[in-house]
Amino acid sequence: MKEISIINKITKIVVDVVFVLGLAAFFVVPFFVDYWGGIFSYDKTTKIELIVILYTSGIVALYLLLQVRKILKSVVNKDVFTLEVVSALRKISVSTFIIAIIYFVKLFLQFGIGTLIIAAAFGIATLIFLTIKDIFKQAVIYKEENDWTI
Amino acid sequence: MGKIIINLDVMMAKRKIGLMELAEKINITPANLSILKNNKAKAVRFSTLEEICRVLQCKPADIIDYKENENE
Repeated sequence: MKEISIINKITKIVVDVVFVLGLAAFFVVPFFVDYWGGIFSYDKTTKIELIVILYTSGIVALYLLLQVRKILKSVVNKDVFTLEVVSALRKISVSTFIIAIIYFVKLFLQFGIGTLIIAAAFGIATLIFLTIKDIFKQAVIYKEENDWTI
Repeated sequence: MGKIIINLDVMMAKRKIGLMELAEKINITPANLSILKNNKAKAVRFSTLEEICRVLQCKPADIIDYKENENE
């Protein structure tokens, strides 16, 4: 149990670092698009649209990471089966759905296999997180019943 | 639709036993026993009921009652 706890703590630290890096990345997005465009050819007339897509999906991704942090915090505190975690999972599924839609729209601006894969992956992730949310919701019901059984 | 009523406090008063003492004798926490005593519990394990009856020298019917809602 102690080993699992250390892994959970490490995971939480990693997510925290990724969150901070994500925040920092906001400042470099316009330069990143120019640099990336130098390596991979892209239609420069769609630069603004690409920046908008990166910023909007980035904001949603940061919100998603916030929810992941909440879940990891509850895992570290050994209190996973709560309505707060169910709510976080629902918010994660909404976030993945929005990101899937954003990258689906991006396909019409600049079609690419990578974009298609990202859109499909986040779409599937939405369904998976919705299912996991329902599983946790049921677990909360069982836990509550057990907690109130003397 | 009726409701299950727990009359544990009545039996505890008859046997002159306090919450802490009873909780210790039946091996559950005072907090859990308080939940049961205050009719907040959703379920009771048979093992818990057996221990309560053993310590209080009573039958389950002395502790558990059923009352219909007055509106019906």
